[in-house]
Amino acid sequence: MSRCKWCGTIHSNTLTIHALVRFELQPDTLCFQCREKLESLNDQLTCRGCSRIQDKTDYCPDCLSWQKTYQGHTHIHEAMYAYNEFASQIIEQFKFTGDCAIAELFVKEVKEYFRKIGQTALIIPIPVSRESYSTRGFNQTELLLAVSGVTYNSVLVNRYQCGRQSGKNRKQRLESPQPFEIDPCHGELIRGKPVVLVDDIYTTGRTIYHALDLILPMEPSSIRSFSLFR
Amino acid sequence: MDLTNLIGRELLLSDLLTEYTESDLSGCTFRPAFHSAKRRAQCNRCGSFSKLTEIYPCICGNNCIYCRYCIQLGKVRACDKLVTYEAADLFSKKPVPYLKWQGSLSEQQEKASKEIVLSIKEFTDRVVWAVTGAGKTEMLFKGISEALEAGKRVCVASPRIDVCLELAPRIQAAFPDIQTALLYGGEESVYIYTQLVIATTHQLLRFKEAFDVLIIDEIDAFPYYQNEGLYYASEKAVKKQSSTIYLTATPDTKLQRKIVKGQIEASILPARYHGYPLPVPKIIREKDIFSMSDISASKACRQILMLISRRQKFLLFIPTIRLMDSILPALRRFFSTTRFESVHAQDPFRKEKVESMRKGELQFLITTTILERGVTFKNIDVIVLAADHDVYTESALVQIAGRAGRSADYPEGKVTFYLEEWTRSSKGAVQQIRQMNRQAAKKGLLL
Repeated sequence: MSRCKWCGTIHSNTLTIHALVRFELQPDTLCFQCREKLESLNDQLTCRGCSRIQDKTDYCPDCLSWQKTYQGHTHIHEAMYAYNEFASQIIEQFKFTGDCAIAELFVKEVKEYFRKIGQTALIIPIPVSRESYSTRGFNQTELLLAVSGVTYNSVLVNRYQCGRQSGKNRKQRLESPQPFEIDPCHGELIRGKPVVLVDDIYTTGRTIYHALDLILPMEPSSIRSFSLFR
Repeated sequence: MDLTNLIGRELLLSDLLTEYTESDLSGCTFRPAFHSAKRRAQCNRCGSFSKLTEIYPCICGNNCIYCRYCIQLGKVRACDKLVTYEAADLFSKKPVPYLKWQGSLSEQQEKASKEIVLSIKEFTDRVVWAVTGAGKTEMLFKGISEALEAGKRVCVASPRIDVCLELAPRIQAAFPDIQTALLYGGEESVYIYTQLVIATTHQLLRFKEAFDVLIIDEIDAFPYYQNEGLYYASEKAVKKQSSTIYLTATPDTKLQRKIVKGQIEASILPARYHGYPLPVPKIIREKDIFSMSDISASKACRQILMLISRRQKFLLFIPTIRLMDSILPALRRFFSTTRFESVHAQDPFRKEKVESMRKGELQFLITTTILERGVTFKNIDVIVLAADHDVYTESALVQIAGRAGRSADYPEGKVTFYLEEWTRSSKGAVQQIRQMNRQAAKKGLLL
């Protein structure tokens, strides 16, 4: 018996052999009904470059166009869940209402992903603007990693006081200027290391590619990115 | 700086500082947002408990506890303060009657109305247990009017937004000379200090020692565990000397026990205003229709066909959205020539569909429990499928049955429960309805 961290109803997990064998005795953070509203991207056809849902696994037109701009780097972004109506409610509650405990909803998924990545990788969260940080008091991506026990390095910092992507349309997003810079104290960490960039949502890819612009010249051994939603 | 708008309010310092300066607030009383209680932290705004270990990065630069339960009203952080302005109300006594409502009350309404007036005068609490369709709102008018004339501050609250939105125009029409504030989540209008307030119970959390009279409609609209917060909110929102009036058609067992033991005064109205008895549900035992491969042979389907052929409009209650989705295709095939719709809480066209049912454009409406209370359709029958399902509490079933026969023109709606097994709730609901009818007959309130 546990309480759903989203809707508050009390639910009980069905105990499966699978869970027993793997010692997964932690109750689910969501009740069955809420869990069902999350649309996993693992079990459907998605773009191999950015996890977008489509009818084939080839690169989507957006990825092809990014590849044209970034000759020699074929970027792979992995996302957990589709950014559907339910996901947008979760993000709204998490970021804008400021309900930090939402981060706990995804501990299992985030842990699992970074367990596969391995210990050597340098994990870099995408920063939020200083304005968002001071009104919210936290960076949602860092919080997601922290509650999951993933060690990260805040190599990127935001140059600007304000401005968020969520208020913009697609064209404005794609045209937005480079918002980040590399924190000089951490810059040298990157060379020769596998890097994973982490964000909460991947929409147009603009943010991730801005980060790439700064990190690729520092010669990491490999680079990929991860987000909860796509 | 004028602090009138803060009288009776309890707000977060961080929110107030966007509008007031610290020196403006120098005359106010401050208290911490949380206090520790039995190795947990209790939110002073809503009374919920948080674990001391649930700390997160905060705007203050440290890690703080915050309250998840009332976060929709703005985040209460442990580093914040709650601010009250302790000043006397600014309403004076007026000898002129405020009530402009012209209607008349039935015998039992008249009696309850007088009892409410008395409770308000003597600062005591009272439960008004009135069956669905007894005409509760009208009985309140006299009490509200006398309180306003005595210079008291009055709040009418309900856990449900729907109920507040329905009450507001009726109350405003009855008291056209009194400025009222209507407060509910999602509404953006600016708060102003008024003598009469209509609000969701959630909004009560923003008040402290504000009201001389608090009337709470449909107190049973939420399951019990959510109700604890409701009692905390209502106790905080009233003045030390005040009167709280609880209105309900289906009190939970705890409240029923309190009434029986005489711990709270009660006015019981067992009859509807039109004097016809409540429709008693007819029970039909049948295997769960949702697991049938062919529903057309079921008794429920035959009844639906019969109602359609008689052009009798009806509501069809289905326990969950999922079950509704599972049976809709079969129903659409089976009743392809009939106009009907389905609604549930997340339906974006909920309002429109209910409206078209009300206008008589639909033969029937399939619904989850969202239409269990607060809505009135003329001349409808009610069918509940799987009435033995867990979602139906005793009060939900009483409320659902109470949708039928509400109008004086068609007082004899029929209610049918389909169930495989009797449950405590279905048994209790039928008993409660029968008991109210017996009481009404005994008191001579039925035609």
